[in-house]
Parts: sequence; structure tokens; C-alpha cells
Amino acid sequence: MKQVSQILTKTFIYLLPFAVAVIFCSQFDFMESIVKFPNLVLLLAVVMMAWLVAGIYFFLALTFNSHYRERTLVKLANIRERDEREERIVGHASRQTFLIMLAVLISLFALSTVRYDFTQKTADDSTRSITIGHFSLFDLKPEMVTSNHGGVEHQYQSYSIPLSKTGLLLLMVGVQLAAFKLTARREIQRGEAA
Amino acid sequence: MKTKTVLQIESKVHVCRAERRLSQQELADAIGVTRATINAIEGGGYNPSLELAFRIARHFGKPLEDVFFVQETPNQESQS
Repeated sequence: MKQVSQILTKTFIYLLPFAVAVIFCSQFDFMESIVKFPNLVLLLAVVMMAWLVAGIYFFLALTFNSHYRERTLVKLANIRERDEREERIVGHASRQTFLIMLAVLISLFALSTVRYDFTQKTADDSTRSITIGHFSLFDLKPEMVTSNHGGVEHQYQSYSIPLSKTGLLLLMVGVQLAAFKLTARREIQRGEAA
Repeated sequence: MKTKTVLQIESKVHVCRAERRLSQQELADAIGVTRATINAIEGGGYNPSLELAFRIARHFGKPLEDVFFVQETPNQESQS
């Protein structure tokens, strides 16, 4: 199981630049010319499918498996804790990063609650207003794309995260604070148990 | 004005190391830390934990206070 996990993780990480390149190139017209080479198209499709499957595993494992998250993200972030001095450095750096991220999230949250309305009635008489507090935590409107093929209309609806920008930022602030509090409590309990 | 004393931990690790003709890397490997940590302890940039301090002293076969000692320096601060 561990080997499968490693293979899927490496597949996702090592194919990431390739996938980004394919997605980037697909924006241009010259990519349409590769249709003339069916074997190449098949190879690209297989590679992209493998990357997608590995990606699904990667995101699920990161979310639900704490050991996997610890192992993978520590390596990705190049966190070194070989002795007590490095542990202390990581602790200080984490504290600073936590505070900076919290400040950024709170600032973005504050900005997301501000709405600036500008209304100009006439050339001489203008009305300007800044509205604070007109925000919603949820955004349940689906994104809709309509296509028409041979007189038959198709509608595609997609629902992304059902939170507005403000709601998402508030959630992130809450998660940051709760994660810190829970981790600190766990460390204290571990120290008391030892 | 209130006079406070600041306790500064000094080390003689470099002296002990020179006596034994050990390199920083050799000492680090023997104790199980990185060379950078030994360098930081010798330079006064890092105060080791009690456990690590005892490990270093034990490695040199000396009591703790022969390797690490406290220097008191007066620090004048205005009373609030």
C-alpha cells in the first residue's frame, strides 16, 4: 500500500510540469495539428489520465491522512528538523508564517466586506458612497454555459465551493486559529502525559 | 533606575574540542546533532537544552559546569 502511495505521489508531482505544459499549450491553435498523429494523442491522453488519477489520490490523501500530509508536505516545504536547534528554528518560522498568514487573511476578509459604489448623476452633481457590511457568506448561484448544436440547446451547470469570497476567508481564519489551538493543546497533553 | 542582571550562558565547547583534537563535524556526529548546531553553540548563537548540554559534557568526560557556565552582566533598565 505504501509503495502504491509513493508511486501515485511521484506520478502526480513529476508529471505536474508536463500537465501544466499541456494545459498551457492547449490554449494555442497549433495543438489542433497533433490530431494528425493519433498515437501521440493517445499517449497524451493516457499520461494526462494517469496524472488526474494520481492527483485525485494526492488531494484525498492530503486531506484525510495526517501521516501522508506530514511526510509529503514536510518534504515539499523542505522542512529540516534534524536536531533541537533546527526544531526551534522551524518553530519560530512557523509562528511567524502563521501570524503573517493570519494577518493576510484578516486583511483580505476586511477588504472583501467593503463595497465601493460610485454613482454619477449628472456632470456637476455626483454621488459617491462606500458601503461596508453588504456581504454574503454563501454563493449558491451555479455557473452556467449554454451551447447550441443543430438547434438543440445544451445547458451545463457547475457548482463550485458554496461559499462566497468573504465566507471562504472567514472559514480560513477560523481553520487557522482552530488548528493552532488544537495542535497546542495536543502538545500540552503530550507533555503532561510524558 | 533599576539594575537587573542578565544571565548569559557561555560555553567552553571549542576549548574542550581543541583538547581532544576533534572537528566540529566529528563532535556533531558523536552527539547526534548537526555541525551547524555545534558552530552556533560555540559562537554563542544558540543555548543548548539541558539534555544536549549534559550529552556534550558527558562526551568530554567533564561535569556540566566545566563546559558551560553562566556569566552575569548588569543591565540597567528604566523602572516602569
